[in-house]
Amino acid sequence: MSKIAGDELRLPDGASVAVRMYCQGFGDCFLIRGREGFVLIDCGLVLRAKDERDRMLEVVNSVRAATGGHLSLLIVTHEHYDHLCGFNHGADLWKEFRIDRLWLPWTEDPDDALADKLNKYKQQATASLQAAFAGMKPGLAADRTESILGLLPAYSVKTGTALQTVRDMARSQGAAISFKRPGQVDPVMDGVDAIVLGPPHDEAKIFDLEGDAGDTFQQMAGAVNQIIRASGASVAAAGADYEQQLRQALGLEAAPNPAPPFAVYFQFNGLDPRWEKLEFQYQASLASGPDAYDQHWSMSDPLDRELHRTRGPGERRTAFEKRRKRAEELASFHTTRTDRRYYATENEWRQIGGEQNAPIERLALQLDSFTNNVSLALAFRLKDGRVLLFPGDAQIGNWKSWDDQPYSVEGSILTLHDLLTRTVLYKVGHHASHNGTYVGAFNQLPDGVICLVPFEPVTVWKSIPDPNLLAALQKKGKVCVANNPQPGGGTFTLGPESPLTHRPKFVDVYL
Amino acid sequence: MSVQQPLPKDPPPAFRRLRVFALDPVLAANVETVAVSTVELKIRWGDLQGPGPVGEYLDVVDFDPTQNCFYAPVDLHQRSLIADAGLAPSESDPRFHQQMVYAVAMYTIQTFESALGRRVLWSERADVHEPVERLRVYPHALVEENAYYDPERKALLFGYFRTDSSAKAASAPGTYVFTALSFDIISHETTHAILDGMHRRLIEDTNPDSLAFHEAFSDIVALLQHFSLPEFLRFQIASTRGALETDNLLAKLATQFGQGIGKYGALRDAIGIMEPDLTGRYAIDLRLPNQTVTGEIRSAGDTEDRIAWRRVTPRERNLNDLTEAHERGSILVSAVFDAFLAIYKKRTADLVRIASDGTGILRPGSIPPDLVARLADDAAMVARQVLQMCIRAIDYLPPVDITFGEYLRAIITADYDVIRDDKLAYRVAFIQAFQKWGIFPHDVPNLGEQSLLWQSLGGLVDERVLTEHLQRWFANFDHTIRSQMAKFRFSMPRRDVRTWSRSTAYLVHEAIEALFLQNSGPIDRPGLLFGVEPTSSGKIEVHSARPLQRMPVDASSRPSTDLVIVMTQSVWIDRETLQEIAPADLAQTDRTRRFRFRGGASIIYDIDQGRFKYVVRKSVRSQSRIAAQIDYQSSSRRSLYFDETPQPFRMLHNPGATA
Repeated sequence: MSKIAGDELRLPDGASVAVRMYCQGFGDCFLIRGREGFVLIDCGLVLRAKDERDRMLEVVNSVRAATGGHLSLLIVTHEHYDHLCGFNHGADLWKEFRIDRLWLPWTEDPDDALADKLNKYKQQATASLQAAFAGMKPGLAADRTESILGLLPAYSVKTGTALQTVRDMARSQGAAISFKRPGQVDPVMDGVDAIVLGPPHDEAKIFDLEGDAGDTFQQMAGAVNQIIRASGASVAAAGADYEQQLRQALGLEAAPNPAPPFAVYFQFNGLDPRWEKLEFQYQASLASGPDAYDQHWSMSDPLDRELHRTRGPGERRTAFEKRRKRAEELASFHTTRTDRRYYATENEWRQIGGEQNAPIERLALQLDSFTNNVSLALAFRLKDGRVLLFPGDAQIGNWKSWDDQPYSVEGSILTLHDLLTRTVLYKVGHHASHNGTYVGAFNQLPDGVICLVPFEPVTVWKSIPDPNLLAALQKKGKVCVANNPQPGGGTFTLGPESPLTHRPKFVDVYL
Repeated sequence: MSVQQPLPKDPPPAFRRLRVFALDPVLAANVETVAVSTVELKIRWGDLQGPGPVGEYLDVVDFDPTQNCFYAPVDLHQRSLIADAGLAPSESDPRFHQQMVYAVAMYTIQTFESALGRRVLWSERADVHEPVERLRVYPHALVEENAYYDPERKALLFGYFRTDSSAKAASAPGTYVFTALSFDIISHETTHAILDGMHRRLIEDTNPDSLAFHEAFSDIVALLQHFSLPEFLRFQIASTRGALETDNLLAKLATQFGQGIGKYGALRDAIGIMEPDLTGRYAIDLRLPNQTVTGEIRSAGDTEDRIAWRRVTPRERNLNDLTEAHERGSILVSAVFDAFLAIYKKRTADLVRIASDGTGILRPGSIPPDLVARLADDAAMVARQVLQMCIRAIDYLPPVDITFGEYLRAIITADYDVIRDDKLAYRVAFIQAFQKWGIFPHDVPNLGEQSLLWQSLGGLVDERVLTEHLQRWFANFDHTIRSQMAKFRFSMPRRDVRTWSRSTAYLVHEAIEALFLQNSGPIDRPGLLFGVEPTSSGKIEVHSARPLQRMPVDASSRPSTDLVIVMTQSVWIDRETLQEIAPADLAQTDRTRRFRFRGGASIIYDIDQGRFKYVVRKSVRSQSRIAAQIDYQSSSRRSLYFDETPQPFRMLHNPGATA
């Protein structure tokens, strides 16, 4: 049987758990059924997806139908729209749920000093990005920055309320909220233990987004790492740059306030680079005589100083004439009027200006990756030792920290290697981006591992999915991609077709 | 009584001399190189039209959006500036920046015009199909370690940035670095614009070589333009004792500044690398304090001051092992540089023998100034000739989907047309160098010169079997071209050349349409002679039709007038066809969309003899090409459906564009 009609998540005889991936698009929503209850991991869809709200309502309704409105555990991996918005869209539906426990990463813990520090980074960088965004010209850079900002709680009321909704809901239902730290091992239900792998409680690792050479699936794609490496700088330095940018953005560190590029030249020639604004002001007042001009005099201009010092009306007039003459000279210096050529209607198509958006966009991208990197990464261990790997949207630094601590499960000490080699299901990290799966860990996964990819093409993220990663996944395991789920040799059971996406609503796997 | 003689009317001067940084401002800050830090470029006197500078080809607008101001434009017609070869090189005067971008871009344009034998035209605006008279140049367009050609705005955008305190900076921390002051970068970006004007569809990324080619070709132009400046070469040759392949200031500095800029580093790294000099023999150390050397080799302690530049050998890197655009491009640059060195060595071997009493081994110490001068002149001449060979080949490239092997064929064919007898073995040097680096066309039986030449239409079809209809078509085509040529003068203003070219392109388009209607007889689909099909399957674009005069250097044939035609067609390959060709790759792709595919031909039509001299085709029906393209595009990071990224160069150049 490879197709099911309703929303029920079956648990066939002989299976320990059933895992369901909802196929709403670029966003995570995973439901796990064990013998004793249900676990839900994230519930979201990327900002501005088509029929976003309706798709999410469909998902939440389906979750309710499958679970009877009772979740023994709800997990929110990180604060991104594509993992959260379902709680907002479906707020009314969620009120009728009963949730026993809510898990969040330690970065949401109000009593954690590092979490507090990181959140401050995030808020203030978001605020400065938001300010910068207001001045951006339309274009892809602006679109992308906006969509990243839209993911962030401090900017978007939507996500803010979504996470608040989750917390309020949990609190009102008396659910226990806990903030998970790496190394913790907790029973989820009988026969299923959850092992917390990340995020690391280490600032440097959280800022490590791309790792070292060979850590990601991106091979010389002309992007940031390759060029940074070619120029001999380490990736760590790029992380430091980012941190510095953030620090400057929050005012923790004095931002260099550079003199404009030609300051010396202009000073030397008694000109102001912003002549266009200033000189017109001067000229208007110069036309109306020394008294009107007096309001505009500038201490930095020697002729102005001279004019200001004058006392008698004759002396004053002479000084004023001198100043006016120079204003005329300046005007003729500029009369060639490049600006007319630039602003001419027939030349509008070649005006520039959007380019200064690029650094803003880059900062936004980094901030986005940083938020991904604080994802709660979990391994669910079944009684027989099999492992389900749910890394959220963890980036390389998070992945690489998993080996920092041993995991004590049922009295025995397990290493990361033990967990990876027994993995039977892998929720592919960060929708299959180039740095959402760490090559070193991926290589330890066994052949035949089931890979679930919550993905559909999105215009602002053209580089996702990473083709190298997809190829590697296909070589190693059984892959199911949300935008085109296939039955795949009896492993994947497809749900009924959704009228919104015209593809199966979800895919079920029995383990 | 004396009669006042009327003053004779002097002709205007031929050139306007303008000073520019020979490489970039780094040279001027070093005692060893300050003497060669600037050069004077000769720019055609008549080009300049006004302050800006605005000329016939370029429109420099110094608007700085970051500072929100216009910098006052330089007026090169000022008497003081005419007398003094323009403004003195200065980093702090924006007007010098304008002068430098103008001078170097014009110098590059002049190089192209003298190699091609015709005027440079910019590509027309794709959205409104309007011609573009002048290329816009923004010397201070953005605050970023980047500079690029923007094919939508037909503009060169140069960035500037403040160096940070990290070690990679090529100048003192906290100072500004201007990409508009790098000779390299300006000629590189100008070349992008010129190439876009000649072959609009070459930008598209359809195989591992296509995107790399644009980059590599621009780099070849930038590199060889340096080597054709004799003043600079003298210094270089004196310090390397004539051995240009050893420690080479030009290539070396290109490497260093490239690191500061990021984008140029990757390409230049392939030509040579810096590494600790264990022999103790190093010419000049140009590094600034805090500057480190490329890659893994970080100098420390004793070796810190002994850094030598050395060429990368084909054994270390080979085309077959590389897939990334920058890296593949660097192989092409290396191969051309090798060909240049081989020719230079061969041409100067006798000089070295004369100067060394027949031994060929120079005595230790400095070499005599006369020998330096002769070697430098020879090297500059060879560089110019090699550059001309590389540029001329552009007319012989297929219009889409180019590979490096095809570029080799184009170089050989173009040179064969100018010099029949390869007495000095220039072509052999090219073939040998390309082969060494693993570049060769895969569809030729061997790498002999005759096999590499492109074929004429006569070689492709037997004219005797052509039907009467087709023969009439050929006659009509010839008549059309001849009557058009009657209206053409090589001395026409550029604007008229453009108008003429457009109307001729239109007539060629009509002729191709007429060809589809011919009863073709033994030839099934006559359009495929030019790689295209009836227009119902896809729009045909005749991008240009440009006459050029060819003056064979060795009098092997009479001077000839050729018409160069570039045309492409884009067709949609539907899913059924795709299913047949490449079913495996379909699983990953979107089901609802089709696949766009281009073909076409570059045609060299000999007007005097009325024959198709060369037809370089890429058929729209080539199944192997469709399969290869799908395979490439689904395995690379490119979209399968050409989203025609508006800023292909920006993405390729910008170190920050990750997502």
